[in-house]
Amino acid sequence: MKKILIVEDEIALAELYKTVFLEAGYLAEIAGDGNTALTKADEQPDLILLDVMLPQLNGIDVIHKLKADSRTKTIPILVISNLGQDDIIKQAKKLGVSDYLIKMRVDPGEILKKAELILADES
Amino acid sequence: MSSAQTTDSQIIHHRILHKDEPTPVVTPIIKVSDFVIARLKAQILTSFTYGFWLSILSVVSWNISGLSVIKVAILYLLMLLLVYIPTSILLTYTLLKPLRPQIKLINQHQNIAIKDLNFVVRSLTTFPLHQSSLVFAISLTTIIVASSFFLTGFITEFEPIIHIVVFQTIMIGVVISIIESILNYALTKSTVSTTLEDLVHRYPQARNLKINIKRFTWSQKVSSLVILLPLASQLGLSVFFTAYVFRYSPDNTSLQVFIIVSLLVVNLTYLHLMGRYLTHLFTNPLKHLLDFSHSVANGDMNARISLITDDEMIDIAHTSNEMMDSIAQSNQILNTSYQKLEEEHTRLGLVLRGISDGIVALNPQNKVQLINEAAQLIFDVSANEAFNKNLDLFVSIEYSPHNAIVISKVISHLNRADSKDKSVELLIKTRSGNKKWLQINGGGSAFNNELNILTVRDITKSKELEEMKLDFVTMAAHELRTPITVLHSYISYLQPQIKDFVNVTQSKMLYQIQDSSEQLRTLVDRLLSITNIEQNKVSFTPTPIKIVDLIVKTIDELQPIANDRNIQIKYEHNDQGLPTLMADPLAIKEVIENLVTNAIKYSPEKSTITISNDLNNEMIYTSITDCGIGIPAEDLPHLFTRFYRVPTNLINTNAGTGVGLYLCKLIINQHGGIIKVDSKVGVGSTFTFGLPIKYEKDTHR
Repeated sequence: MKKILIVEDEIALAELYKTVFLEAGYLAEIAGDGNTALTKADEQPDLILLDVMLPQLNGIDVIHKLKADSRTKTIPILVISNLGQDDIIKQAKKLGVSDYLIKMRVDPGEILKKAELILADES
Repeated sequence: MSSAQTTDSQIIHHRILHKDEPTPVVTPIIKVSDFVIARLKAQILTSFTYGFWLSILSVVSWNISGLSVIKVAILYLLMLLLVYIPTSILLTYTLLKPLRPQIKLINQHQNIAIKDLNFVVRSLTTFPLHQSSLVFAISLTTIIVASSFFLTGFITEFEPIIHIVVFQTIMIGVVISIIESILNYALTKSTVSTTLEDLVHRYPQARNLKINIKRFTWSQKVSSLVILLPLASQLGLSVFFTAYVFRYSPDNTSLQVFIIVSLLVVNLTYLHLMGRYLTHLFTNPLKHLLDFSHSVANGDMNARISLITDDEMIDIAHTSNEMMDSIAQSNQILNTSYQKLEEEHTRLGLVLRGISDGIVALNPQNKVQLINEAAQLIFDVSANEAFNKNLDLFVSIEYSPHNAIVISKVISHLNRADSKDKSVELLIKTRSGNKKWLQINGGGSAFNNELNILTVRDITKSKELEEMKLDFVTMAAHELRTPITVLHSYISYLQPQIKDFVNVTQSKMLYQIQDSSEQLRTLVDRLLSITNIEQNKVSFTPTPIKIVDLIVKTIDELQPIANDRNIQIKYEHNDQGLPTLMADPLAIKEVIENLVTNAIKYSPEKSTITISNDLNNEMIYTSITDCGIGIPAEDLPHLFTRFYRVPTNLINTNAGTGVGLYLCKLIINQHGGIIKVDSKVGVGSTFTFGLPIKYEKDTHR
């Protein structure tokens, strides 16, 4: 069973995404801040759903660290954020994230679809 | 003769002053009899002072009997009564004849024209001279005729001794005629003077004629006699001795020569002395003219020539005075006009000062010619500093829409005849480092384009307010995006799961929640997009797109909403005819979506929306036409302004948020395109946007 790590500080959204993934037959776990995300990434999830604006350590820094660590650098990352600025999107993509979604423009179903596409590509 | 005449012309420069005593109203002013009396007085005076005295002296010296003297005196008296008096009256009347109509009017105390008055004054002024000249001429002619009879030996029966008596009488006659003329002149002049004074009382306007005749005082009369008597005597003696010597002592040559030479010497000496006096009399009026010219040259416009002489000098004086009067009049008019101009100038100055907008007038070289108080404050410069200088010296540009580096470039752009911009907004920095937002309006010009008028308004405050408004909106949007994401996500998740478990009413409620959340999400999303575009946080990635595909795709997506309201969307397209565009597909789709959504929103049910494409050399145009409520003409220019909402009274009409069209404009502008609207209330609106076929990345801001 594929395991999804949901990094999202807005607990309501995190819970919703978790429910959606659980219903779709995935294992899902929530990390509420950047540092927790890094700790939980050690457990080798199959996909990381990552917000950018996070307490303690922001999303971009989290990506840096994940990609720098040989054990986590292969884990596909799907960024979901409300930050739509060019530079952030470009930075994230340059660091090798699988995709960057504007959170407000997509509903949970679309996120699930996108995640499944990425997972299918990986395998 | 000429010397006698001129010597007597006592030219006196003195103005007749208005006498205080009241004028006799009934008595005639100009009495001809006065002139006759003056004439007779002169004759009697001469006869008594010189005539009788000299006659008696000569008769006694030549041993003529007292009876003869009385006879001669009686003869003389008869002559006086029968010849001289009638002649005098006749002469006076003849001389005054041209004046008679005016004199009659004046004596009847009727007003006469200033022209006639002038004529009377001038005639009277010259009257004494004319009269005395005439008297002298007549007397002298008589004596010369009588003398020539004798000298030519016409009367031969007279004894030599008698010859001498006759000669002496002739000599005395010459003296008397000269003296008489002089006295006549003096006395008539006094009479004229009195008459003129009365005339001035009667006609105060005569004062402007600058009458200036002084009555001869008795001392003056005596002194003139003293001066003239020797001359007259000398002349008489010369004539007498010359004739006598040549006729009766042809042998005594040396004596003759001595007498003639000594007489000539005495006469010449006397004439020389008199000549100086006469020259002085003659040049004095000229000196007055000169003084007058100097006064005028030094700016004394009140200067007048106060001078009356008996020759053409009086004409010069009159003309000059008239000239000065007319100059004074013109000056007064000029002064009044100047005063009016001054007042107008002051008033304009006050208006300029009072206007809260800055006003600057520039010459074609953009040099400041006029700058009002408000503009001085805005540009942080004084009028003196700025005059005839370029504004570039005082302000630098921080931001201008045309990337102008100096303010004069902006001004030139505004003033260019072909320029469409009549107003521009700039961020400037003054010398003291203050940054100000200015709105400069140009295009006004005066004096044949010699002056370009700019109005300048400090819009820093409104700009700051606008900034604050934008900041607030941005902040609100940022704060709202997470809760809205939560809301939207939950509803999207929940709706399909529960729709089978709710009744119709609940389903409608659910739909309302979803719809409102969708609207809210769109609004916040657009606000964030606007902020990002304005702050240059996003750029568009141009990719080859076919506009037709984008339109078809959008129509497909929006079809369900249109169907709900029975609205038909018609799109007549010819895919082949349109070239591929370089544009950001998502952004352009957003524009189309926005415009079509609006069209649906404002269209009545069961109407049609028409979408069409057009093409020219530069752009591909897309037009979306609806048959909706339309937009009032006064709102059209503001339609694409940030947060502008068309005021609407229609209930149940979802008024716009003032965000969508502005975002469309931003996106289209970023692509180097144009967007415009045509609308008529009650008929419908057509929104058109054009995208350049050759889209280049350079057009990015």
